[in-house]
Amino acid sequence: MAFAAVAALFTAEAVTATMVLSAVAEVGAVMTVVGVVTKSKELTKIGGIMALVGGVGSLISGAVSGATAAGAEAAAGAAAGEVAAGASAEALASSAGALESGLAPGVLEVGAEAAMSIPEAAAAAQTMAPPPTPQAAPVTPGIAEPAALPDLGPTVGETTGSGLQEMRDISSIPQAPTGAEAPISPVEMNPNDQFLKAGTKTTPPTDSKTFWGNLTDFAKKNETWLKGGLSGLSTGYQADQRNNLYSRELDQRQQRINYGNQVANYTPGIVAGAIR
Amino acid sequence: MNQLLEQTSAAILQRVDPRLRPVVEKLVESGKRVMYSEKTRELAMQQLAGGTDPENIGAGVAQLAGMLFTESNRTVPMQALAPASAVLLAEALAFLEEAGAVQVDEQFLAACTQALGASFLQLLGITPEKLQEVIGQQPAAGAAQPAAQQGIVAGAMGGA
Repeated sequence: MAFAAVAALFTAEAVTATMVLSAVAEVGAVMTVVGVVTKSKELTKIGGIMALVGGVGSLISGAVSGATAAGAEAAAGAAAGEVAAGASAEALASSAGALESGLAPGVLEVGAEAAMSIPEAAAAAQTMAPPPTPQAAPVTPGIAEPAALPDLGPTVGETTGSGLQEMRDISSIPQAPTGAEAPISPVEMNPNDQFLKAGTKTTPPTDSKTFWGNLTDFAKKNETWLKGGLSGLSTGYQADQRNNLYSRELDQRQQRINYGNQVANYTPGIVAGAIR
Repeated sequence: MNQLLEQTSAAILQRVDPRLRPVVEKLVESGKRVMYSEKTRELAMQQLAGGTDPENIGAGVAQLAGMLFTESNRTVPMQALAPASAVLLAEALAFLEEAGAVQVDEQFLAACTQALGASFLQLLGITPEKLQEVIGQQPAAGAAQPAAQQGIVAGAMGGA
């Protein structure tokens, strides 16, 4: 019951494709680390598969530009990372206090009541979140405020048969509102997000063995694009290495040229001077 | 704290981006405050009343992570939340071990981590079907290549 109540908190929130893939990749990476520490082959294997699914999925979905997912993600999030870190850290510090005072014992037992008490605490936290800096790139429009945006086609809340919505031309999207109303996260600040999921369904809890079995089956079924994406990542990495080598070679040539210019001015030594 | 749990926390924090380290630390601190607060202690006890098996513990920590995510107005990136939830799992296991409720060894920690990951992703509504929707609607990695590779000569020759 409690699990369903917490899961229901996500129901009204839009989960972007980036968030989904990022979550899968990060959970996979953490599981891999713990798998190594605990020497659990199963955990390491599952973690590796999930990290691959999330990473390659991000690459294919266009969430990441550039040859490697990791490097491009760092580049895309670099400008917003500090803002997000500051904003979310401050919001969290204040909201933790609000959460403590807002939560009554057993409040999460009842879904409807939970929905009333936690947003109150979140609202208190919102007022304390610092505004973002101007470096923040345009974000995908806040789902909570569709009225402020130009016509984006289907409004939030309407779903297609598959449950996903497509965004209109992103260049027409104005700057997101600043201040506490503009959640900024490297995860969401991806102008290439093409999918918005209006509402996440509350899935009943599945035990971990079944869940991971399902996901690894998914990975096996989609082995082709996983391998393709991995190959793409590998090619990109090799290209990056070649580029580095080429840059170093150019530097060396330049150094030789500079050295050569100095040699002409070099005063001959004793022997050479005596021979002349 | 159990040496295994300390080692795990250290390994997880080591791979966190230094720019996100303060966020992770804040998350962990907030999570600990919620876990150990008098007002929410009953919540934790109720969760534990369901049993101290790995599934229950993992689900409990996942719920905590979900609460922190919602309370931060969804501004916390996954790159910080996932490691933070794993560190909070270690904290929770240390607490339970000190209370004598569980004996944490490598297998137990691995099982709890699996449960945490599964519960966390389920909280976000991630299932194989969702992944298929998210990824499957994009063209396959190599699908566009054959068309792109047809150059001028091949095109003049009739697109062989």
